[in-house]
Amino acid sequence: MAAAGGGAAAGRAYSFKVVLLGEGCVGKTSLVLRYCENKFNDKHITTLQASFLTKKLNIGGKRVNLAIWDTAGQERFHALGPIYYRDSNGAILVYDITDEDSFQKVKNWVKELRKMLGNEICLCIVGNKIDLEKERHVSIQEAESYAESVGAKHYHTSAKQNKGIEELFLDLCKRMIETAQVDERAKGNGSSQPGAARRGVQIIDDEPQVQSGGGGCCSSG
Amino acid sequence: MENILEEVLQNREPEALQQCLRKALSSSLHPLGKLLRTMMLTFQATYAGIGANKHLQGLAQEEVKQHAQELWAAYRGLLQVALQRKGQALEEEEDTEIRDLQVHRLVLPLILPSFYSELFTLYLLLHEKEDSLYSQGIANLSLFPDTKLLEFLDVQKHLWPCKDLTLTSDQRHSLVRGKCFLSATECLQKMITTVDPREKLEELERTYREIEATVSRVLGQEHKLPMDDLLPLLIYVASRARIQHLGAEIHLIRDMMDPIYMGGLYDFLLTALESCYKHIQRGDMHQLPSSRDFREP
Repeated sequence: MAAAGGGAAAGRAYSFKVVLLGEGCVGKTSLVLRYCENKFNDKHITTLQASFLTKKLNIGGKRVNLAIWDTAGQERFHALGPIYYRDSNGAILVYDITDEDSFQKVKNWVKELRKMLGNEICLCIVGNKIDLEKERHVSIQEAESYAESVGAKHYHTSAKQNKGIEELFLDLCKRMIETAQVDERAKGNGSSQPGAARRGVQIIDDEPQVQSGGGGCCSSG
Repeated sequence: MENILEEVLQNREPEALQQCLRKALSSSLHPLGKLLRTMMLTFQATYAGIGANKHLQGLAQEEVKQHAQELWAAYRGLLQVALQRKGQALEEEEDTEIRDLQVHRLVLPLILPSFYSELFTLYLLLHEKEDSLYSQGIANLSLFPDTKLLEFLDVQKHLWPCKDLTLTSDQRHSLVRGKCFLSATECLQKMITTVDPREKLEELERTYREIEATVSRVLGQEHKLPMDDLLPLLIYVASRARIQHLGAEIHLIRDMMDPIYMGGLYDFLLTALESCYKHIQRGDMHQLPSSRDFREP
C-alpha cells in the first residue's frame, strides 16, 4: 500500500512512519492536514483521512513514501502511546506556544520515546501557533535549548498561516533518509546481523503489477 | 498428469493463476492438493491435543508461512516441468522479493483455512489473560445505555448520533442500548466471519468508513476524524461489537497479513483497534454505570 503504490519509474523508495504526538488543542492535526493538503500539492493527496495521512516526496532524486500517524492527545490515552510509535522512524511532538503545559507534555513524550526507541528515532519538537506570538508562554530560547539537549530539532510553525510546515517535513525526511542510509551501510558491511535491521525502514522495489491498484495508497482494492 | 501440466501452462496470469491454484489445492487428486493435505494432517498432529501449547504459537505461525513457500516452490516445479516438455525453459531465477509477495498475497490466503483452527487455538492460549480482562471490560460496558457509554468514553457531544435513538413511548433517551453506530458495529463483527487477514482488514476499514459516515451524517457535512475524536468512537464500536478473543484475532491478523501493509492504512487501523483492545482492559473500564437516572429498560 503506502509503500508499494509507487509510480511507473522503477527503483527504490524509502518508506517512513512518523507519529504525531501532542496534547489535545495544540493543533497537531491541522498542521498535518495543512501539509498534506497543501495547495501546491493538491494533486498528490493520496489519502483522505485526518488520522492517517500519506505523502509521496522526491528529495534529491530519492523517493520517499511518508506515512503520518495521528495519536489521541487526551491524557487518559497516554498509556496507549507505545502501541502507536513502535517501528517509527520519526516523531513530531507539537506544543502550543501559548500553553506552558503542552510543552511539559512534549518533554514527557521525549523522555518516553528515547527510553523506548533510543536514538534511532528522529525527533522534531514543534512550537505551533506562532501567529499568536503576543500570547507566547514558552520562551523560544528555553524551547530551543531543550530540543538541543535531547538531540531533537526545534521548529516554529503556524498551521493557520501555513508557516514553517513545509520546512519541518522536508528537514525531517532528510534526517530520516540519513539515518536509513547509516543503517544500510551498517548492514552492507556485514557488521550487524541481518535480523538487526529495523523493521520500520523498508526499502521496497516497486512492483509493476501493483500499478493496477489505481495509484491510490488506500487498500480499497 | 498431462492435463495438470497443461493447466499450469495455461493459467499463468495473476487472476487465472489464483483460480488454478485454488482448484489445485482443493483437489485430492492434484499433486498440490495432496501436498497441502499432508501438511495439514502433520500440522494437526503437531499442534492439536498435547501440542496445543501457547509456547508453540511462534513455531506454528512460522510453519504455516513455510508451507505457503513450499507449495509455491512445488507450483514453480510443476511449471518448470511443463515448460521443459514444450522445449522451453523457465525465464530466469525468481526474485526473492517477488516470491515473497506471491507467497503472501496468493498462496497464504488459499491455504490458511486448512491450518486456521489449530493455529487460532494457539493464539487463544497465548492471549488468554488479556482476553479475559478485555471480556470483563466489554461485559461491563455492555451494561451502559448508549448515551451513558458515549459520555463515559468522553465522546464529544456534538458527535453523538442522537437521532438514531428511536424511542418507544415508555423509553427515555438515556436508556436505549445498541442503536448508536450500529452500522459500524455490524461491520466490525463481520471481521470474524472470514479467516483471510486481508478480508478481515477490509472489514476493519469499512468499520472506520461507517464511523466517519455516521459522524458526517450527524454533522450534516463531510467530516474527517482526527485521532482525538476517532479513538473514543472506535472504543465505543469495539465494545459494542463484543468480539470474543479480540486479542487473539488482532495478533493473528498482524502475523499473517501481507507485509506490504506494514506502515500503511491497514496497519494503522489494526493498531488503532489494538489500542482499543488495550484500553478496554483497563481497570477504569470495569466501573459500573452509575445507577443514578438509569434503570434497566
